[in-house]
Amino acid sequence: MRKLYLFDFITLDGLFDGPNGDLSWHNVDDEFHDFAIDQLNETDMILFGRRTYEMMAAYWTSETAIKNDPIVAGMMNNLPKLVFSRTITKAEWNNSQLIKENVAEEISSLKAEPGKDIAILGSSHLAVSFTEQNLIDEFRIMVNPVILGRGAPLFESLSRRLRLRLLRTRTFKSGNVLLWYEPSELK
Amino acid sequence: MRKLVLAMNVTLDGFADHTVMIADEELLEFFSSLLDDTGIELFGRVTYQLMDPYWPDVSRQRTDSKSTLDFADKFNSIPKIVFSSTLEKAEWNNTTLVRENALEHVARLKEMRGKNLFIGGIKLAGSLMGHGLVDEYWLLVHPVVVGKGRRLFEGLSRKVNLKLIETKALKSGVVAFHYRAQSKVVDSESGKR
Repeated sequence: MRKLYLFDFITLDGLFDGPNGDLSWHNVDDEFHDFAIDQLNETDMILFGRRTYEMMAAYWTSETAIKNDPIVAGMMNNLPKLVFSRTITKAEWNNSQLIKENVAEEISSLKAEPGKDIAILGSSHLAVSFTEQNLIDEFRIMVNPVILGRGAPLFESLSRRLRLRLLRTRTFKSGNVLLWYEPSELK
Repeated sequence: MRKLVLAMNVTLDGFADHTVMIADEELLEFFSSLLDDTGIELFGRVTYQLMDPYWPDVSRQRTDSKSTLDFADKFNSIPKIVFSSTLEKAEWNNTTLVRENALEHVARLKEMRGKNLFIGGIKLAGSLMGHGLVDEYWLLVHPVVVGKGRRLFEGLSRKVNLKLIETKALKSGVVAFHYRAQSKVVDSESGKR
């Protein structure tokens, strides 16, 4: 069985984005860039909710991204991707496929296939729904050194309580701290 | 000048729900060690009333674990200030009730020499943070996601940038994050820092 992991940036107060979708607080540097490449090297499929999918598709296919960040752009554009949405009609980003229904079955059969890990990047609404269905095997949460006070929390309106087991931590020079957890109890 | 230190428990998703926190021996020892560097503990009314008579009772009954009693004894003996315009009296040991504006009072306390000032409530802490009066933060992130409830820093009036000093993982999976406030707020009227 391969792992489905969630990778997300949050503020110290648990927010996924600031007012009006503000992501300017994302603290990224060369060390993070190297980490991102290592993580994608261990990943052979990426899952998205609609909003993150559209944002990432626009960014990683842009000339800016391909010129400034060719390695990650190449990986993001070439890796197989699934977008989960009932509102869009097709998925046009290279090597991506739209999934409208039977999500849990789709994930279970994907996890049963041989391969590297499967990632969910961003996609806070998808993360809530997948967490509630107990589909996520590992939570990788990058805590940024900022408190915003206002914005949308990651795991907003989760209908169940999730207890986690801390696996490890890594401190980045930027002041970011990455926390690895696995789910321990959902009720 | 002395530092104002804020220390709080929080869920991974930013909620202040004390019923889900893991208050084990190691966590209590951690808070006890913070009290060793504390000169005065500050409270708003709500947090004060959560703590008194709970901690005086723990010290009196002496039925809890050693770490709990150590913490309770230190907490009960340390000088305390509660800021409230509605509370009639403050009966917890070594406690002063202050009715005047907390911001001005705290700013004055910070000018004095002595051990750290320590704050652990939500509303008062938010107001002190919003005015740039908090110098250091200890956030104890508990390994739980609750999805709803009272957000720890809800309604903060400005973004607070922090500089990471250190982290410490406890056996329970709680991760203690230690930060220094990144910059002082410039007072918009006088232009003074």
